[in-house]
Amino acid sequence: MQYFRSEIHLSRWLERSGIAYGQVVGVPTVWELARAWYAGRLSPSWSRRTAPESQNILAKVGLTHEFWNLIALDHGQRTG
Amino acid sequence: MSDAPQQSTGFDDRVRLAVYRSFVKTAQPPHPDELARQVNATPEQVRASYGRLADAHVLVVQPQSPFVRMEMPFSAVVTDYEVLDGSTRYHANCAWDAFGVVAVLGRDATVRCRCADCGERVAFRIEHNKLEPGDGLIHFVVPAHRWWDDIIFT
Repeated sequence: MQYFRSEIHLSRWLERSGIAYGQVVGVPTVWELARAWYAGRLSPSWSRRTAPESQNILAKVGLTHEFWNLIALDHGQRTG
Repeated sequence: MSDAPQQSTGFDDRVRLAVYRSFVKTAQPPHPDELARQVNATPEQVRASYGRLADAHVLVVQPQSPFVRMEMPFSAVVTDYEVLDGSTRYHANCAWDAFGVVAVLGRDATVRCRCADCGERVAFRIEHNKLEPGDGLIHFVVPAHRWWDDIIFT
């Protein structure tokens, strides 16, 4: 997950690196995602989420494209 | 030390938390020998716990070493994604994790990213859980179901 100053910078980097375009997310959405994803990590009672629970966090910040699908090939395993 | 559990969720939780607390306090993971003393276990028991925590996608051990490379969102190695909190400089595994470090710290901090194209540094200030406006975007290359195929690349 890399930061780019703009779509122009991203396009230039994709062309240079030969890496395929994935998905672009705005910085405010990534901040909201990070807050939800990493909540409670310092708590002794923290436990790993199931894949559906993680999927729900992605969906709540609007990441619903199939690119964000954790479950299809994960068969319900727990995720970060 | 003989009574330290060898395969216990409770023991692994203590190891997990001790690594996090070290990252929060020093921006680095503990030395495995130091951690063993902290949790009243042997270095071998700590290494075994690291293995289980890695299997559970909680942390990543540096290949061919006993050292933690990542405990998400923290990175033990220097990256282009920093979090500045007073005099402490944390490193994160990626742009998402840089914001994750701020979330874990739970206090005001500044995320500094380097544009992967031009190398220019950009800062994002977060105060009282609010992100101050800034430019740019974050590109995800790897689809979510493949993030852990090669987490270092991801």
